[in-house]
Amino acid sequence: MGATDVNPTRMELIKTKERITLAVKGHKLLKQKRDALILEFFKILKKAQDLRGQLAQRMAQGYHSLALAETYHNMQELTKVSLDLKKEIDIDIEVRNVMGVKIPNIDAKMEHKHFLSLPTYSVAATSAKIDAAVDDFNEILQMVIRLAETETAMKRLIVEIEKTKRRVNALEFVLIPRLEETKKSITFRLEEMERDSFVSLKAIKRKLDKEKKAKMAG
Amino acid sequence: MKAKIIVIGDAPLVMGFKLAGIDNTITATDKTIQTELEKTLENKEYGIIITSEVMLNKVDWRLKRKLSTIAYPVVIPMPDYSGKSTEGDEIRTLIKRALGFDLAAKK
Repeated sequence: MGATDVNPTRMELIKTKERITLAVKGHKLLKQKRDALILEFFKILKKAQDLRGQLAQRMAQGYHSLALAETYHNMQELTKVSLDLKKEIDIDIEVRNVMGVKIPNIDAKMEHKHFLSLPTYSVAATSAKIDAAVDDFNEILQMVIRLAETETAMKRLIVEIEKTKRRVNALEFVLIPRLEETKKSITFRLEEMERDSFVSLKAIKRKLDKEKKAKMAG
Repeated sequence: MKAKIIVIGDAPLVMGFKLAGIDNTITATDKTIQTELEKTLENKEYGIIITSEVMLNKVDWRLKRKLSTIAYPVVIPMPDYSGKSTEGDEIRTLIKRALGFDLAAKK
């Protein structure tokens, strides 16, 4: 909406003023939303601490030890071993709502199905390569669960932060200045019209006075 | 909400997580990943889906968009055995775009 294509009427002026108050109010609210989101984001960022990078490293190591285990034993044997390793993993996922952004809250407890925390597969029939792979992937699993919470939350939050920021900026730098411009131009035109009519009134009065005087003289 | 973990990925990924004690696994290929993921998403029992980053890039954009907006289940892409991962960079660029500065560079 440009400043020029509105009717310079009092009604339009009132409407524009109303729109400005609404926009300012909205701007304030969105700014608060953005700040709250950023606060939440940094809270999670502290928890995340470059988990991704660590995970990539761990994964490379895990794949390496897995490949070694596979060469020493075969797939069938590994599968057999894995059957003995089943764990009761108790995850509790709660979806939390932060300023309209849904983020997961994960609470994980891991319990071995067996009462021993020691390896439950045959020590004699397997080599240390399997132990290494098992250890690596156990650690990876724990990292993944931690990552699951922080990474998703971070992604959702950052997208929402960007959106909100865009809106705040659009209001602050585009919509509100434009409305102010419209308001200014309407007031200006109204004042101009007032002066205009004032001058023409004066002229008419002068003319009438002249006629009156002429009549009196005549 | 109680939830389970499921692993959908290539054979090494699945084998690795089997050794970590997860018994819900699906071995998928580039072609079957799409349908497997869709099927898994319908099952609300699974709260965390661990999958391969490379395979995740093969699914169509509709599913990708869906995955990037939902909060439950959580989908975690894992690097494949080449060890390359663009997931971390992705988040970094997102952060940079939204906050206006590079967080990792600050450290």
